[in-house]
Amino acid sequence: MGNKKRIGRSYWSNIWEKFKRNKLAVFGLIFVCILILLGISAPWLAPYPYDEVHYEAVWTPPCREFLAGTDQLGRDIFSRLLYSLRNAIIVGLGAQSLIVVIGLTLGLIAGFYGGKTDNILMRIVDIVYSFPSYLLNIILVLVLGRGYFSIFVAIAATGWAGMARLVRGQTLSTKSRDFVEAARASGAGNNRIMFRYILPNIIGPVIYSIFSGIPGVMLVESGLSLIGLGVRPPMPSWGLMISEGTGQFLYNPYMLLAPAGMLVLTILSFNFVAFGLRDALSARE
Amino acid sequence: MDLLLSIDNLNVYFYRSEGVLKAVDGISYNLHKGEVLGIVGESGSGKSVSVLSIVRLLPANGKIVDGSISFDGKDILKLSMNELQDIRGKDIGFVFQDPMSSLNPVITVGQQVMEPLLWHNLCSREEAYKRAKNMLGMVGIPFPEERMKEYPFQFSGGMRQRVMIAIALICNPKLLIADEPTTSLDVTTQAQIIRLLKNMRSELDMSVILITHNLALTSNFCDRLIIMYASNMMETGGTKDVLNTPSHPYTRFLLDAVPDIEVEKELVPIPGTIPDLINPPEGCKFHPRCPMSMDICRTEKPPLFPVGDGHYSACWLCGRE
Amino acid sequence: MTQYIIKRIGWIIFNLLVLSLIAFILIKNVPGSFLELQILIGQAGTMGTGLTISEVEKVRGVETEMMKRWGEDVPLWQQYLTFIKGLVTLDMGPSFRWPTQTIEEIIANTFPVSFTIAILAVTIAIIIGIPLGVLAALKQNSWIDYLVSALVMVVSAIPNYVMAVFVIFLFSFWIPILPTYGWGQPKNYILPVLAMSFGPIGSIAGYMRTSLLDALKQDYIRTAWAKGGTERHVIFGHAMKNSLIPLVTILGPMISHLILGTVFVEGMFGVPGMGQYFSQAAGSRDYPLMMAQTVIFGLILMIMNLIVDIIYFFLDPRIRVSRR
Repeated sequence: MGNKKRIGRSYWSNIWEKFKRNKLAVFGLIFVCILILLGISAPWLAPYPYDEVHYEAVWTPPCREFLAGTDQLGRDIFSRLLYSLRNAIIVGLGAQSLIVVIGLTLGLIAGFYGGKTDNILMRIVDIVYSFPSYLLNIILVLVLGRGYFSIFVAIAATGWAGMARLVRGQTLSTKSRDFVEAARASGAGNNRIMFRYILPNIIGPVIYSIFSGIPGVMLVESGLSLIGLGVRPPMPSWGLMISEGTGQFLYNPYMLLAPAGMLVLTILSFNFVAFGLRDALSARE
Repeated sequence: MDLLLSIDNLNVYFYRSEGVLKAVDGISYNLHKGEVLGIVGESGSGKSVSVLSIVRLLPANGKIVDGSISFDGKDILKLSMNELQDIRGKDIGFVFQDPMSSLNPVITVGQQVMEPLLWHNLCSREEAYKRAKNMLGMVGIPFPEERMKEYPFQFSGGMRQRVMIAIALICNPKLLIADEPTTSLDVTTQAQIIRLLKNMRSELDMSVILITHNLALTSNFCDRLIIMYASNMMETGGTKDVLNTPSHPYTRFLLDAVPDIEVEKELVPIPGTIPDLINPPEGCKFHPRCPMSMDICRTEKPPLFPVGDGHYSACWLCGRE
Repeated sequence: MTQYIIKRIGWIIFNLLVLSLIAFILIKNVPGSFLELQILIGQAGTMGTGLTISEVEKVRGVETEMMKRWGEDVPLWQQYLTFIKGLVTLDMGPSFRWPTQTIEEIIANTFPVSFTIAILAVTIAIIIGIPLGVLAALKQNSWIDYLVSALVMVVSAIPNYVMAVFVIFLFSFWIPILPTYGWGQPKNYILPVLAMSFGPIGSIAGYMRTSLLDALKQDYIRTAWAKGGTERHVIFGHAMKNSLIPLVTILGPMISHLILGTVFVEGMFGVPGMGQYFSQAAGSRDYPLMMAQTVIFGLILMIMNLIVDIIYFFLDPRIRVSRR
């Protein structure tokens, strides 16, 4: 390792090379990009507004006019799927960003300063870990009211502990490496060491953890909206669409299959990317 | 002396994503009953692979592509899996380099020592227990009966290696293969383990192949030596001949690298590094690091030239009359 | 070991106090109250979704009891103390939503149901998941391996409430031999358990595959081959031992997750379990029940983790001996 100050370009290109060899992961990544693009451009791509009702066309099976059919109010399911995707991506990225910000900061501080700070922070992490996270999610959404922000907060309030634990462990092992010692010897301050030297070296596992966490967040969100605690209707969400489709499965199976299929597809593609990242990161040595 | 093991023109390739690695490149040797053979070389020289091939224990991507191995009259490469399992552990005992990772951490030491006996159906469980206890005592483990109930992590490094040796010897094998048995141990323990191997050899009357990168360990244990470098045999002969009159430049380098307590001398590191075995150098594999290399060394691989009684050297310097 | 368990129990009590405080503060701040909601529902003329008329009568009957505990004029700290005292003495008073039942009765009735389903689902997952994972690992890179790996990925991406719909559909229309709704008979358990076992089957098979592959790469496995072991000796006598021990660590969280993570599935099959009661309690702002369930579930989670650690302690000699 020697005196290498920061991770050079070769580190990332090496990981990228390994990642590229995994066809499934590349496929997943392409799919994730497409999904994100679709989500962003939902307002322009959707053929109908998500809440536009067509009473004359309720429960229309998929046809040219309504690509994925219509629901009990005659709303276009294809448009609603696009908006649900947008929702899921907003929640996934939003909640994960909050988790990263909290977990990274606390994990870095705990791992870097050690001692009492570490003890106290890790005790808090242990406590949060022992909480029934799903119940707290529900209660927090009840307290904060429905909406993106409260969903972010509700999920991040319990989700940050895992990230903090990971970052702390990585920081501990990076802290003792030569280049950190060298930076300290040359008079770099604590903040500088933390953010310029340690952070770039632990970012790989953090990125993996972000990707592998997004599907979980999406599932929590769809679970919340399934019991009526997700985003506020008529804004669609997969969970809500699934619960509406459940009762109709016998008569209009597309109402369940379309949102469930999209949910599974999205989660699968994020998982593929996460698996690929894990293999690429672990095969580094 | 009777022939126990005969290896002829062994070629072992490893199939990697970067290409084909010739781990063993056509080596041949014989081992007689009761003989102790030392195979010496740096790590990555193919010495471990050459002996793992004897019981066909290569990793999944390794393959014996050519050659023959005959052990005790049996053609190893033609044996079925069952016949091979019958030889492993019973006729050929193995001691590996790292005694911590080579013992199963969640199974008691006693059970692990008894397993070869039980697996080969050599005796009852009670009998196996007795024999394991005796064997552990023989390899120098105090209170063997108590320690059989313990787990590997409760043993020190040297003691673990003694357990490994007990496992290898429990079935009274004809051949003991010790693959760098002392590398992970400290110097005093190293000497103890070698002394133990020596005692056990005379007590149980078996042949031994000792693999090491440390020439100093071979001098008063091995009858014969093979010096390996980059998948090839460089020199072979009686231990005294090789150590006293080394004829290959590589052997001389190895000898210079051995620290000697009595004679104060400068340790000479070998210039250069081990070659890339996927794209090895042409001709003699050692020529890029050899101070005496000639034109022919760069183009043609030297055969083994006789340099004394049973003493051969793969160096063009020895081939020039 | 005893010392270790005592220390852990101490931490569990501390964690529970923190959890109960957080739950109490949060739930007290949930906007809207139970009675307000009931009145709203009553005014909208949708009686039946909330309490029935006779139940409302009973609410009136226990109102004094409730006011004594949760009334406006009782200071918050006293409410909290009452709540803790109720938890400790198992006298938590009546629920708002189900005023005829006390909270401890509701929990005593619902917990065994959820727990049985979770244990059954995990058992099925173990019985199916472990052999699948072992098979995939032993036939690495064969079509069996790819099939199992694909199954693991797909199954772990399908939420159990979607799985439940498929299971209901399958058994109510194609193979109509099992009841898809209702409760009371043992056969009512089959479909919910089935629906909830898919995810765990996937995770156990995946975990088993990775951990067996990892074990097979270890040096001690090479030693076992060198000792003359057959596949049976090496794989089932050695590698399986090493790869099964860490599996225990994922089973604990899996069971506690299943006990409550089944809110939707319980609703679909009409299972009177903890999850369904919690979501209904949350929907009707039944604070006492919500608080009690949150703490009880926290307790289950922590005890599960402790049990896992104790089992791990007995399975892994490295930990057992070093702590003795």
